[in-house]
Formats: sequence, structure tokens, C-alpha cells
Amino acid sequence: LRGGRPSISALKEGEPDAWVWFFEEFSGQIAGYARRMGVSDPDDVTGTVLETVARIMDNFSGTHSQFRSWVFSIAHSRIVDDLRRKSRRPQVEFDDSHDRGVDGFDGVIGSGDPDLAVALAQLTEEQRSMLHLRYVLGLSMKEIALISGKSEVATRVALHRCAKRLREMLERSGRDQAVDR
Amino acid sequence: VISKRQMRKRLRQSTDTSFSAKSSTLHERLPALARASSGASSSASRLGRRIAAVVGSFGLVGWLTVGSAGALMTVAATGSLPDPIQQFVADVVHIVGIDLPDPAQQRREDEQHRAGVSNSIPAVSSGPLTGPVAPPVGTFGSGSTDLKGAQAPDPETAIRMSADDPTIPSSPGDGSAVDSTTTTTQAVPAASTNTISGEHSPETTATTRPTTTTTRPPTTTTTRPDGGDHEGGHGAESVDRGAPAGTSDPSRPAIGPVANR
Repeated sequence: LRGGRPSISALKEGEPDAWVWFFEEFSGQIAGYARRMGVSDPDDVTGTVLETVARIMDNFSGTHSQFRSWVFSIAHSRIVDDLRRKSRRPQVEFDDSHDRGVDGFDGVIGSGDPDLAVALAQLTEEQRSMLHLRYVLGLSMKEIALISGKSEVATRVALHRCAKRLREMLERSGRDQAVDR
Repeated sequence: VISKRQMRKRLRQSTDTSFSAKSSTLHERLPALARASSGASSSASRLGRRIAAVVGSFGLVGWLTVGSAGALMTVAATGSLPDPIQQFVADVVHIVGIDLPDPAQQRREDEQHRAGVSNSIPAVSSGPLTGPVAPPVGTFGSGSTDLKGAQAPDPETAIRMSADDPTIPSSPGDGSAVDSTTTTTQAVPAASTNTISGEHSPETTATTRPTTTTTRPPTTTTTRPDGGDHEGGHGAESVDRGAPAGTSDPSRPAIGPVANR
């Protein structure tokens, strides 16, 4: 272990400690990303992503930073697949275990912050993904560009626009609350 | 005003990172999956895949070779390849006993065929010599005109021949069959006279028709047969009588039935 994280070769060789670290490090982040994107069953998607990473780990070669973006690119693909499947075959959930957004948005995208949930609900799927990858997971512009399949410049411009829009919506909602008071 | 830092903080705080694995053994299965994937693609399996790839590439090369050779043979069998390639392929497969169109051989055959056609021209033209069909009488006039042009190549010889043979008149148109025959050999007007005088016979036709091929003096001389081919007509006899004069003349070596036969 180096700085609390195992080497890539240890992960490839299947050392239990290395994979414990991987599980604790990535499971929550992947689940949060899936939940932010509005996946119907984030835990299932997270488990699938973790298994996929372990199954194809031998194909990866690179640094830890690259490994991180590689894992989230796999998670992004799985999430997009799940959202497309959900759009083709809508499902009705019987269990409301999480708090939901308002105004009809049924995705769990902003637990504990209704204003943010409403604002995120008005963004597109791609914009939510970019905001989460950038501001929550802390990926670089280059890594986000690789994950979203765009150029770095286009990613930078798109992220700037959606951040500006989100900020405007949050400020507007803040003003509205202040007026109500 | 909401700063970027505040927005980031709100986004992180609102993110639900809870994860409850549906399978309690998930974190235990991950190392096993990693080992299985790394073991599956190492050592023996990698070597096996390399061997399979090499064998496959050899097979592909062989398949392409056989296929291209078969296609080449197919095209070569039709003789539609360019001559040098066709020649090469034909020579190669000739070793194993396969005969393909050979451009050189075809050229030789073509040349022989052309030469045979040119050689057979006299034979073709000599065919009508023995033909029983006589042209209309009215055409003899023109035939005689042609015969004038088809005189023996050496008029002096003919004159000498007539001088040696007392049976040959010095001038055409004496009226006798002998004279007419001799004149036929010597010159055309006698032949036309002979025919017009009503001494019609296949031989007469034989004597006149070759003269239409006026460009071949030896053929003209075939009008002086010994009677073997031109069976026994009156004209033939008269020709026989004229023949010794022609053959006895050493200045006419290649004429007569000898050349025709």
C-alpha cells in the first residue's frame, strides 16, 4: 500500500486488501453518481460496475488517476444504459425509500436540498453528469471529456454554461425564498 | 450571489453516497474475479492464442495462395491471359501433363493455316478444271478475251512450238479440232472458236475455264493434259496431240500436267 492505496499490480493480482480498498473507495462514489443521475436502482448498478472492473482489471494499464477515470467511465456507460432502458420501459416503484424532488421529478438527485434538486431536475442528463463529475468527484476536464465523449474545449464550454445556469436558478430560488419571508 | 465553491459544497453535501450491496459476498468476490481474469489471459492461454493466431495466419496465406492459383488456372484455361503470362502458365502446367492454350503454338498454327490457304488456292481453282459444268456459251466471248491475257508466258516458245509441230497451224482459226486445241494451248481465240463451232464437250469447258484464272500460267497449261483427268473427249484428244509439242520444248519446263498433278 502506498499512501493508503494499493498499487495497480496488486489489484491485478487480486490481493484482498487491495480490493477492499477499492470497494470502500469507489462503491459510495459510484452509487452517489448513479443516484444523482436518476438511476432507478443505484445499488444494483454499483454492484455491476464493481464486478465489471474486477473482471476486466487485467486489461487496464496506467496510473491511479487514469484508473479512477477508467472506473467512472465504466460507471457512466452503465448508468447511461440503465437510463435508456428505463426510458424504453418505464417502471412504477412501490417503495419510496428516498426523498424525492419536487415538481414531478422522480429522480433522487439532491437529498436534503430541495432547491438544488429542483434546479438539477431542470438540467439535462449530460449537464448533471458533468456537474457531478467535476464538482463532486473532482475529475479533470480531460477526464470528463474522455468519459462524455467530447473534446476538452467543448466539455469546458458545456460545463461553464450548465454551472452558470445552475447558479442562476439557485440564486432565483434564494431570492424567492427571501421575498416569501 | 452563489460562488462556485458554495455550489460545489452544496452538490457534495446533497450527494447520497450510501451503498448497500445486494450481495454480501460482493467484496469477497472481487479479488477472485480479478485473479480469474488475470489467470485466464496469462501463460498458457496467451501462448495458445499466439499459436492459434500464427496457425491461422498460415492457413490464411495458404488459402489465399490456393485460391489465387485456382483462379489463375481458371483464367489460363480460357486463354484469356496476356500472352507472356499465358505462355508461362502453359509451360508450367505442361510439365504435369495439362494442356492449356499456348500462344506460341497458336501463332504457329495460324501461320500454317494461312500458308495452307494460300497454297490451296491453285487446288481450289483447279477444281473447276474437271468440273462438268460448262459456262453459258455466251460467255465464251469474254472468256476468250481473258484467255488472250492468259497466254503462255512465253509467246516465242509457243511460236516455236507451233513451228516444230506441223499439226499446229501458224495462225488461229483453221477450223480443225486439232488446230483449235493447239490454239487453245497457244492462245485463246482458238478455244473460243472451238466452242462456238459446236464441239461442245466437258473438255472444252475444261480448256476454257482455267483460262479464267489468267494470272496463273501453269494452270493455263493444264489445258493440255494427257487425257487422264479429262477423260476422253474430242477436245482432250486434241489436247493430247498438242501436249507433246509443249512438253518436248525444253524452254517450258514446269508447265503442263506435271505441275498440275
